[in-house]
Parts: sequence; C-alpha cells; structure tokens
Amino acid sequence: MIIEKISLRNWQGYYGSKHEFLFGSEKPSSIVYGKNTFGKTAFWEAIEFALYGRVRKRKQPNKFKPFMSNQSSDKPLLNTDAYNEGNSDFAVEIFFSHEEGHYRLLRRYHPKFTNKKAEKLSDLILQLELENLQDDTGDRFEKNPNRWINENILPERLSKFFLFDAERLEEYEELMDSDRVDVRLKEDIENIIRSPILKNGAHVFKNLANRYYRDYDSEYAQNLKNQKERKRHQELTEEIESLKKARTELERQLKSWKDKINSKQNWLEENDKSKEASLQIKHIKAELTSNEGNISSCRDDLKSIMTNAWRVILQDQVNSANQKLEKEILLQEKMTKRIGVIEEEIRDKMDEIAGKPCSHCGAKRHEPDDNERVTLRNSISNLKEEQKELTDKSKFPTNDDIWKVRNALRPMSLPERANLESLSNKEKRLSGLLKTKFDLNSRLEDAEKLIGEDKDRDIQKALSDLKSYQGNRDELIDKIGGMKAKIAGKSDELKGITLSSTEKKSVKMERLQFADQLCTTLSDLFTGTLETYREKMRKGVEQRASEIFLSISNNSENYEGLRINDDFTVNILNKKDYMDAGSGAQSLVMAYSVIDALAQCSGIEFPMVIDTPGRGLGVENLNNVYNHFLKNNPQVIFLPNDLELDPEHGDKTFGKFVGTTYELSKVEGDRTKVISRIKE
Amino acid sequence: MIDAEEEIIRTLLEEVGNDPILEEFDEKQIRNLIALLINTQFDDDLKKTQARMKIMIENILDIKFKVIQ
Repeated sequence: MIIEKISLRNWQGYYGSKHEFLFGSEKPSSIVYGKNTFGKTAFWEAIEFALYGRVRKRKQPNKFKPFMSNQSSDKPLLNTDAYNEGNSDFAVEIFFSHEEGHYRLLRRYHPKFTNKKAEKLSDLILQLELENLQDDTGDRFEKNPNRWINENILPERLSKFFLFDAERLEEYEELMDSDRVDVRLKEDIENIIRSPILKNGAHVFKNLANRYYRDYDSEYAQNLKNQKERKRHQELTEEIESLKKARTELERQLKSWKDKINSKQNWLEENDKSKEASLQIKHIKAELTSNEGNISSCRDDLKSIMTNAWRVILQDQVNSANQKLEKEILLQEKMTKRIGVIEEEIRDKMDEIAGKPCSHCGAKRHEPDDNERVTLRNSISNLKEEQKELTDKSKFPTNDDIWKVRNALRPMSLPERANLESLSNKEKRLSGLLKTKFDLNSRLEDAEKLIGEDKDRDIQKALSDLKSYQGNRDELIDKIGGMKAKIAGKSDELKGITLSSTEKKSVKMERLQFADQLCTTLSDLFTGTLETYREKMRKGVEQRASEIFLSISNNSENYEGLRINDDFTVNILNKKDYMDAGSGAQSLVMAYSVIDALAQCSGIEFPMVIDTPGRGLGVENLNNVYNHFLKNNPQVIFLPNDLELDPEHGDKTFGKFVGTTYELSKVEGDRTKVISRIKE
Repeated sequence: MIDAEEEIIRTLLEEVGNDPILEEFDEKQIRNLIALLINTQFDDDLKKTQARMKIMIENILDIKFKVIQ
C-alpha cells in the first residue's frame, strides 16, 4: 500500500475541512515537521482510524480514545471546537494504491439527526466507503471494507509495526534482556512473522480430527457386536468423561481466577498514575533504607578514623616543627664542626708564630718576621672572634631542648599519611550519601503528593493480591495440563481399540476414519513445519536486522551485527563475536533495526509512519535512521519534532528522498494548520 | 526479502510431498487452506475458521469417496 493523499475534517486538533497531505507519485516518502502537541500524533492516528475505525491509547493499547469530548477527559477524535459549535461531523479520507489498483477509503461520522446536537456515539452515523477507483464493472465499492483491509492491506494487530511512536523503541530495548521481555511483545513478534498461521492451523486441524473421530466413535459404538470390546470401550469412555468433567471444573476455577486478575489489572490500569507513584514510593523507600545503612556504616568508619583526627588536623604544624628541628640539629652539627676546625687553625698559627714545626706533617718552618707575626696574630684574633660567636650561637637549643621537642612531637605524628586521604575520602562519600538522601527524600515527597497514604495502601494490596491470584492461576494451569495429558492418554487407548477393531466398517465409518487421519496428519504437518519455518524466519530477520544495524549505527566499525535468538531476544555482537552490553543509543539502534527487519520480513507492504523518531538517539545515529529508512523503504513518513529535525535543515538534507514535506503550526489557540513546504 | 506468507506455503509444500495420506491434496488445495488460515490469522473466533475449513475438507472427502462408491 502506498498512501497518495490524506484529507482530515474536524479530526482532533485539525478544525474544519481544509487539511490535506499529498504524497509524491515518484517519491511517496514525506516528512511532517511539528513541535510537540502540534498534531503529529493525530496525523498517524488518522491513518489508524481510517483503516480500523478506532484509535488505541498510547499507554493502554487495549483501550481506545473517545470519539467526543463529553465521553471522557481524554482528548477526543472529534475536534472540540467543532463539537462545542454543534458540528459533530468528522472524517478521514485516504487515497492509496495497492498492488495494481487505486482506492479511496472514507471513514466519516456525522449526526443522525439534523435538529439535535449529537451528544453520544449512538447519535452519530458511520459512513464507511472503500472504493476501487479503477473498477469499471459498476461495483466499485467493497462490501466489507473492514474485513478487506485486514485481509488485504494490514491486519490491525500488526499495525503497530508500521504506525508507531518511537517511544515503542524502549519496549524493544527489552529484547536485550530475556528476563524483561514482555509477553505481549513476544506475541507481537510471533504475529508479524506469521507463525500463528501454523499454530492456528495445527489447532484447527486437531479439533477437526477430534470431531471426525467422535463421529466415528459414535458410529462404532452403535454397531459394535463384540461384548468384550464393547465393555472395554464403555469403561474407557466413562473414564474419559469423568476426567473431562474434572477438567471442566478446573477450567471454571481458572476462568474465575483470570476474571479476578483482569479486574485487578483493570483497576490498576485505571489507577495507573497512583500505581506508578506507589511503585515509585516503594522503590524510593527501599533506596532510602539502603542509603541510611550506607550513611551509618560510613559514619562508623569516620568515627574510628576520627580518633586520629587531632593528629590529622595538626599534621602540617607537626611536620613543620619536625623540619625546623632537623634544620637546627644540622646547623648545630655544622657549627660544632667549624668550632673544632677553628681551634685547630688557631693552634697551628700559634705554633707558626713560635717557629715550631707543623704539628700535622712535622715540617720545619722559618721564623716569622715582625710583619708576618702581626698578620698571624690578626688572623688568630679573627678566628677567636668567630669561635666565640659560634660557641654563643651553639648553646641553644641544647641537646636537652632538642630531646624534649622530639619527644613532644613524636606522638603527634600520623602513623602513615594514608589516614589523611582516607579521612577525606570518607568525608566525600558521606557528603555524597547525604546528598542522595536529600534527593531521595524530595522524590519521595513528589511521589507522595500524587498519592495519599490510603490510596498507596490500596495499590500495594492490589499488587499483592494480583501476585497471589497469578500464583493460583499458574497452579491451575499446571493441573489442567496434567489432566489434559491423562485424557489424551486414555483417548489414545480408546482410539487404538476402535480403529483397530476387526468388525466390519460402513462407508460412513471409512470416510470418518479417513477424515480423522487426514486432519491429524495435517495438524502434525503444521506443528512439524512450525519449527522449520520459525528458524527460517529467525535467520532472515537476523540477517536483515544486522544489515540495518550496521547501516544505522554510528559505531558500526566496532560491531559484527546482531544475533537473534530462538525466543527472538537479541544480542549486539562486537567484532570479536562477543556479546556487547551496548550503550543506550546502540540499543535504540538495535530496536529500530529489529522493527524494520520484522516489518520487511513479514512480506507486508505498508508505509512506515514514525512519530518522534529521535528518542535519545543522538544526531549522528538519527541522521543515519532518516537516511536508511528514506533510502530503503518504498514509503516512509517521518514526524519529527523541532528538536529532532529542523525543517530548513531537514528539507535541505533529506529533500532529495521525499516528494513532499509539511510543517504543522498552531493558529487561533489550539487549532492545527498544515503548511506545505516541498511540493512535488 | 522474505515474504512470510509465501515462505509458510513453500515450507508446508516441501513437507506435504513426504506423506501418502496427503496425496489427496494438490498444491492449489494446500494454498487454499493456507489462504484461509492467513485471512483468519487474527480472527478471534477460531471456530468460524474451523467451520470454513471443514467445508473444504468435506469437498476433498466427497471427491475421494465418490470414486470409492
């Protein structure tokens, strides 16, 4: 299917009837720019509505948006201004090509009575037209458009693969963690690869086989002459009947638990915000408890470190005093040495005046004359002065003083320097923990504002009830499984007797027997084919998804591709074939790749309509997404907000891939206006 | 690119050839059966699908047992 034109009338924010989107015939892809709340989501919901007559709520996929503003507080499908003015006529019209044909699909609701304002859905009439514009036989209108669309265009349950808000990518990120994958997501994947066709086939043929066999068995029982065989047949039939009754009773109980579960789930869904807040409160309280524990252990550590804290605080002064003392000691040693040298020099000079030989080497010296004696005496006098000065200086500190200072400083010194770092690290950790505590308390306060104490208790009780109901349900499912196996065993025994009977069979019996065999064989064939087929699809999706992943990822040189497992969980493989945890952005890229690969491998041809495509992808990855989808898909309609793609930049960069682009703006309050940018 | 529906038919047809009971079926009939299942993949009322399937099976049986009679 390729969409050629969409017209909207009084559709959500699109007031009035002049809202048209045309898509190019050569390049049917398009970009519709618009800030959040400007009507992007309403655009793709219009396609959903035209095809299926209803619009699913984004957060509650099993619930639908109301048609009119008086139906609920949710934003309605009929434009509120039009409704307030008494105009309840709203419509979506799509022109599209499919296979070789061109079609017009109109889904319009208009008031049943001209003299009465439409207040509720029953006051409106549906006009649904699906017209084959090329059919010249005079029978251009499809009789059952809803069925035709589901069978020929796209089954409603698969529409989420093609019409989607990129918020859904986060759901697909769960594919990287098999414990977190939602059951509904697994069902969606099975649906898109169409495996239910085979599962349903096996189921339908098995039921048919059972039916044919029951008819055969009844014919057999009526005509049976052998008394022994008749008796055994009767016994087994009664046993089977009694087991079936027990199974029915278990199934009745199961249904009752399922109803209770549904009702609890519905209640929790209705109280979704409260539930979220309640879960958040529970989570925050647990975090707070653990935070309190950490704070307390950190404080204990600090206490033990703090016994040395006074040393830590005085450490700089103690170090400086120690250094000063060492310096003093050195100076003292230096001075003592010098005094010794001076004494030696004085003695030597005095010997020289007296004409004595050298006291060191014993060499004779000449007797000094008067001038030399004066010089020697002056020199001796200078040396004595220096000696006196040094002797005075070296008196303080005395050895006793030094010893006292040393002894005083020793206990003040830290055993090792690490204590100071450890104290500072602990202090840092404590202040971090206290900050976390503060943040948690403000989050708790915010969450508690959303929900009262009583409500919180109700939610917690509902969650606990739900868990216990689910436990009961699972237990019953196991019991029923066991019962079914018993019934199957007995039935096989009974079947063995009836089919191998030597009594003469009527043509009717022959026919029923053959029908049973045929349907059983077909059922086995479908069951047997399922695994082979799933494996083929798994491989196909894996190959395609890997190609897309490497084409979109901004880090593709480090990756080998994706591995899709049997249960369709996904691993990102790096170049060494190891599984990679993948960053947030890479897992979003993975999600895009898997969705596109699944859509492509389904064999369904339908435009991809992607709302808010960014979702934390980063500019480079996002540009790769635009490039990949616009280049490789027959028709893609992107609906980026202003942060995801600026219209000027978008037209300039991607204009070559698209036939048209549009920009949504708001006029007269809350009304959406469509501005055509690139025209074909 | 894989076309899921075609792939299902192809895989089934590969398997059909191995079973003598299914000799009664030609490719067209198998395709018809699959087409019915495909069209009712999302039909919540599987009984309706079953009823339609039964009609198809009955037609095949009529042909076989007319020959025998």
